[in-house]
Amino acid sequence: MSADIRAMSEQLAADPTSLVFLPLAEQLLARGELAHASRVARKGAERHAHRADVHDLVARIALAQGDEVTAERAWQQSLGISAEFGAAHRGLGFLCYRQGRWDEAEAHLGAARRATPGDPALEAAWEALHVARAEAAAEAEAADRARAARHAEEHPPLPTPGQLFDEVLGESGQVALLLDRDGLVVAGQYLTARGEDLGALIGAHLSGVGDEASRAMRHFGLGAWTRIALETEAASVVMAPTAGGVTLVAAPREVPLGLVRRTLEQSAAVARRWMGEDA
Amino acid sequence: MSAFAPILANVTRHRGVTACLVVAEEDGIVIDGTAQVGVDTAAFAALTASLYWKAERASASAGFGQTSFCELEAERGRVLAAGRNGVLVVAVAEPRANLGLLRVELLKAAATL
Repeated sequence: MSADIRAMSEQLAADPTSLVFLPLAEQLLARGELAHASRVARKGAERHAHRADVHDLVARIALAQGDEVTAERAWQQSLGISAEFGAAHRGLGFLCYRQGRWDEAEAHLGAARRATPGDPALEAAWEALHVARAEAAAEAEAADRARAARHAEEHPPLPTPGQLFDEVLGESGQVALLLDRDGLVVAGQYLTARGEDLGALIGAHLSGVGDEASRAMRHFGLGAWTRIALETEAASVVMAPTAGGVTLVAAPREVPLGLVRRTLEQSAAVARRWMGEDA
Repeated sequence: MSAFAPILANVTRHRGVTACLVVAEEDGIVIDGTAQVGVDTAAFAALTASLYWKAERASASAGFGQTSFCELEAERGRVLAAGRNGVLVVAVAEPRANLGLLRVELLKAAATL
C-alpha cells in the first residue's frame, strides 16, 4: 500500500464524512484494487448521495469490474442529480456504444461533447459510432434482403389460373387445362393463333369422355381409370383424374406421345399442388 | 377361319393381352374375338365402343378431327381401341403389356379394316 493511500485511508477513518474517499477510490481504481475501490466508493456514495461525481466514480469502478448493469444505474443516478453532467453522459455513451444501442449512444455522446468540447476520446468515439451505425444499417439491410429472398424462395407467388401450366408446357406447343367435374375450366388455357381461348369449348366436349370412362370402369373390373389417351387427326389428347376433376393435355400430332404423357403427369402434379391436395 | 383371324392372332400374341375383339362401333356388338376365360367380352365390346364413340364425337366437336386410337388406362389393366370405317379392334391387357408395341399392332390392324 502506498503512503498516499495509507494517509487517505487514515484520514477517512478519522472523519468518515470527509470527501477524501474520492481521491482514495480513484487511486485504488488506478492501481487495479477494484474490490477495495468499490467498497470505499459505495460507502462514500451512501454518505454523499447528492453528488453526481460520486455516482460517476461508482459507475466507473463497476464497469472496471465488468458490471455494466450497476455502472449504468450509477450513471443514471448522476444524471438524476445533474442532467448535464458530462462524465455520466460520456460513460453512458461509451457503454451504449459497446452494447450496440446506437440511438442512446449518440444522445449521450452528443451531450458529453457539448459538455467537454474537443475531447479527443469523445471525438473518436463519435466518429466510430457513425461508422458502426452505417455498418449495422448495411448489415440489417442485407439481412432483410436475404430474409426476403428466402421467403420468396420458400413461398413462390401462386401463378394465376390461366398461367398455371406455363412452366410445365414451356415452348413445347402443348396446352393443358384443369377441368372441374362439370367440364368447366378451372385453370390453364387453350389459345389459338389468333389469341382466342378455346379452353371452355375443349373442356366441355372432352370432359364427357372421362365420365364415360368412369361408367365403363364399373363393369371392367380393372379398378379406377388413371389415364385416357386419344389420337386424332390433328392432336394427341391425354387426360387424368385430378382433384375431383380432370387434367387434360393436348398436343399437335408431331409431339412424341411419351412427351405428351410426361407433360400430363407434370401438369396433374402442378394442378394437385395448386388445389392444395399435395400440401 | 374368319377374315379377322390374322388380326386377332397378331394382337393376342403380345405379352399381357387377355382379349382381342373386333367390334361394330355403332352398337358395340362383337364381330369376332378371342379372350381368356373370365373376360366379359360383351361388356368390354359394348362399353369400349361407347367410350370410343364418345371420344370421337368430342374430338370432332373440339376441332381435333377424326379419332384413330383410344387408350384407357386403369389401376389393374388397360383397354385399347383403334378404329376405321365403323369397326374397332379392341384389346384388353394387363398393366405389364408393352403399350408401344400394342398400339402399333392395333393401328396396323385398324388399317386393314
